[in-house]
Amino acid sequence: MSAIAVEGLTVRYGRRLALDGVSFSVVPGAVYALLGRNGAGKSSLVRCLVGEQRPAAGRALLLGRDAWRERAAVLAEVGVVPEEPQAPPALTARQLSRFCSRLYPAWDEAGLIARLTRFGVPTDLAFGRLSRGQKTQVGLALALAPAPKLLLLDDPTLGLDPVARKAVFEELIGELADRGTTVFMTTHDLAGVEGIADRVAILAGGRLVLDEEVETLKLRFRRISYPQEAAEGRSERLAALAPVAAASRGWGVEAVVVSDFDEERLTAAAAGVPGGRAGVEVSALTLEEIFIALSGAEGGSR
Amino acid sequence: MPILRIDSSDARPIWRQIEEGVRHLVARGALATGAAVPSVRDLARELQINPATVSKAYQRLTDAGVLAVRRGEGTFVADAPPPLADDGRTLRLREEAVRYASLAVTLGATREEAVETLEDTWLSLVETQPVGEEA
Amino acid sequence: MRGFLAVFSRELLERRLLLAVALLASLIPFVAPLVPGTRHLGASDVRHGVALGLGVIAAAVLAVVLGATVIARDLSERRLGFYFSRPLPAWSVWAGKLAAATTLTLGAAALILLPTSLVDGIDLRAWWTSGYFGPDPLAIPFAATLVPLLILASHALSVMVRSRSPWLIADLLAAPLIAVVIFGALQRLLREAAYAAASSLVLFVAAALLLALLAAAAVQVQQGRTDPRRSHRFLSLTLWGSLLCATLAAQGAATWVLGATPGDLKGVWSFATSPAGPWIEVSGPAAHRGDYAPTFLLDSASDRFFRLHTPPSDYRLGGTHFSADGRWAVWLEPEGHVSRPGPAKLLRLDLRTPGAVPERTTISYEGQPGLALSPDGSLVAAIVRGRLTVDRLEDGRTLAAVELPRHRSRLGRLRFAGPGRLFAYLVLDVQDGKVQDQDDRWKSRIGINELDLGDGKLRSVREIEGLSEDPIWGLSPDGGRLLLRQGKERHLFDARTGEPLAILKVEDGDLQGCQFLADGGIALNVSYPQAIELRVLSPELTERRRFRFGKSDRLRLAGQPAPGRLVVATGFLVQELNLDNGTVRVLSRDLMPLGTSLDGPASAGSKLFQSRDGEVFWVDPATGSRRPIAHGGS
Repeated sequence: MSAIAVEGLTVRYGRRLALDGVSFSVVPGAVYALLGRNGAGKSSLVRCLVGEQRPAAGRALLLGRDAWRERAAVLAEVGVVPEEPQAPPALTARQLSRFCSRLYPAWDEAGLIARLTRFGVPTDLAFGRLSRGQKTQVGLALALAPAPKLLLLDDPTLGLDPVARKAVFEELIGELADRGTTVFMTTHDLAGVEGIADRVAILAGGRLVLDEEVETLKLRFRRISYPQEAAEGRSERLAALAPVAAASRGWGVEAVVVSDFDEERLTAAAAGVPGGRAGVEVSALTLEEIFIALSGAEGGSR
Repeated sequence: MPILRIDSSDARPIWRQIEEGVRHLVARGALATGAAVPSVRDLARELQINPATVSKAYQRLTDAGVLAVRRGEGTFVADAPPPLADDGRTLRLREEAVRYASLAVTLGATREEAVETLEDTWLSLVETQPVGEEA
Repeated sequence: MRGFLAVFSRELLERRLLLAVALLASLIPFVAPLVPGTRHLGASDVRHGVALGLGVIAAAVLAVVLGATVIARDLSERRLGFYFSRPLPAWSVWAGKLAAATTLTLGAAALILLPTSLVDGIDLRAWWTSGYFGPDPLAIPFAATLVPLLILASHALSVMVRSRSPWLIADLLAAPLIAVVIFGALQRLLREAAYAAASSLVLFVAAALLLALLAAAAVQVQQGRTDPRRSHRFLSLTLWGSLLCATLAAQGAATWVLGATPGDLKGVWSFATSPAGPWIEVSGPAAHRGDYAPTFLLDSASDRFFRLHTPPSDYRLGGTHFSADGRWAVWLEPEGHVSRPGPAKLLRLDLRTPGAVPERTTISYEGQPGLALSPDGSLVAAIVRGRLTVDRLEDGRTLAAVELPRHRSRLGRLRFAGPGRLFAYLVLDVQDGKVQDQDDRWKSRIGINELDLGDGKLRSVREIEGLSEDPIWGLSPDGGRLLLRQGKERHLFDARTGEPLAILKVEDGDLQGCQFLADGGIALNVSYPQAIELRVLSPELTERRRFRFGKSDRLRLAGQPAPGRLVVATGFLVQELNLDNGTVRVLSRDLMPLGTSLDGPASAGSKLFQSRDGEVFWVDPATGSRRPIAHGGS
């Protein structure tokens, strides 16, 4: 049974289609990162997953159960960290913990306090008076305390300084190592999730335009650069490689990004050109660079 | 523990980078025989990567005999990397050789150049500590 | 349940400071009597008053403030997600928070009142049923329901205002609309003096409001969840939808109440008959309608009826008048509320024309006029506020208007006599141009005056000395003779000239009552030590018959259903007296007559009776068989 199964999810706000028949699934134990530019529909998707939004069509299943209809039952095993830290501003972290402990079958208050202390977050200060980063950490600690099977994180590192960001990821990794928790997160911090995510998906215009393992994604994307003077003849050949985007031009060099790199084809394409294969440089891309290349292409086509 | 680094613009998958990095460290002698390596959890946290990835790398290294797990104590560099079954090792060596050779050819290198480069690299790798048997 | 308790206790704990403040405030009543100027009121009363006042104010303020913030503020500041991203059922969120708000409000009020109650030993029953400022409004159960209502209303308002959603426009339109419709239903009931139904309506509306607000809050949280606009939408739809159903029910109920038919009458409070023909006017309480007492013009032969907009019996504006030929019915209907003083319009109905409906004339009166109708129903004479007017019904033209000499007009009577002549019998308290003294009031006089419609002048014909302050006197059915009580005697006069005609007295018994009968004869009610004797005289004053009855029974004369017959009743025992041969026939043991002695054979009144259940029956004078004409209950 998938930890998350989204089937044909459609969300409409009046006439605007925020999500258009989105389908994907997350296997238990995986780390699934959802990327997308602002307005692509990420928040609507997250709202459907946590049972806050009723889809116009399709459904979102968490641990096999419908998120809207069985929200309260489902969330007993799910930890949610929303984008905006939410909690009654007058309560301290300790009081929040005490409140939440009554809602779950198991609650590790000691672990929560230890975690917050590790973060350097005061546990007896009213929530409203904490900094943004501290609020996020309290939210994360509260989400982790019931040892959930599934974690839903909506841009957990938004607005955090590098130290806080590192702390958040460390906690997540610790969870993954200790319990094999399934993690679903939306994020803008691609560099940060690069090492953590098993699978990455990109949402654009309410549709899923990519849903792939990070490993294979990185295997097929390459940047190919070659000296600019010889561009004339080369570009036709290299055009045969179906580049995703013309990456850059400068320093006497032109570079393109290709999405289905094949060494033999490249060699063949570069063969009949002065300098040959030796003059062509191939380099891999980070997840961030892949996303930008894809979004550029997508944005151009919108 | 000397720091391993993961390069996100490296074409190789992360687990491979870890695996080869550890092998490199062991071959160089930076990781001594019997030395403890960080737990999966700790290495994952340090490198900010998925523990499953570290686990995969460690598993491969353990299967290859580079690392050894002692229950209750942790993971350590194996006492002596046991020799691979003859055909397995030879096959691997041959695969890499093919790759190296074809690259050298396409670059227009001569056989001498290729062998010389290989020798230099070998020496720099096993500079201070000649390791066990000949590969 | 777990979640509910967690939310509930958290909300209470967070605001425990309020209760501490309430406890402090509870000490103020003890300080109040020390304030100069309150000495004369009594310390205990001052404490009570202050405590009560503080308690009420605290409850009101807390209800509004807590109601507005407990859910709505979290919603608009987007903090409800905290609850919704946890395994907390939606119902426990709204129920927990609202319950906490209610508990805090009532708790704070109770804390304020507690020390005063303990010290002064307040009678709890006094708090229960009446306050110090009047009954009910400050009673505890009333307050206990008012508080949640206030909280829920404040919550709804807060959600509506904070959401900044266009639904607010719908709210601003729906609220007054519904209020107007409900008020309309209430007005309809009050106009017809259906007070019990009106207060039931108010209670129903209050309950419906409470339930609607509760349902709206529930649906809002359940479906709208964390989105302020969605929440507003669900709140408004549920609230106005429920209230719309309630208003429709209210209007329907009002229509049902006011749609009572003669078949629903379960009693007869007042009754008037047409001197000729089957039409009657009957009014009484309607079954299942509380104190609503409709008035109907009813055809006793066919069950055809019209509903009249006239007040119930104790405020009657004189009742319906029928013309002597039984063709016209004329009555007064007030402009607004049936029981409020004010102008009343005169209406008339042609009883002989099929398909006729009541028509308004242009004649209206201020106050409570005494009316008289000409025998053919074309003219109406009225005395109101010292003025005598004669109007023509057809076109409303005033034929005569005369200021009357000072008199007690309520005791006056008017009779048309022949074309163009009206007699006004006025009880005068003026003698020799001087108003009588208080002490001389017991000597009142009856002035016979004639109004000539030709020249519009009122002439005094004669004045007759009455004996008591409220002289008991009556006119014969044909208007020709006047009977006046003088001590133990009855004096008969010619009603047109004032000539004395005869003196009726009884030597051996006590002349208790004396009445004209429909045929013009006179019945004397004579009381003996052991019995009551009814002596019936012919119009020529010769004695026809005597009948004896038991002393304990109160004898009531009903009508004459046939010539030579007279119906009398003692309680529910109805007997028919045969004036020709002196026999007595029992008509019924469970009916009561509705008619009076002036109802003759031509009138329906002499044949209509009422059972113990309030059912009205037509009894055939020949066979004695009954036919129900208005059923008790529907």
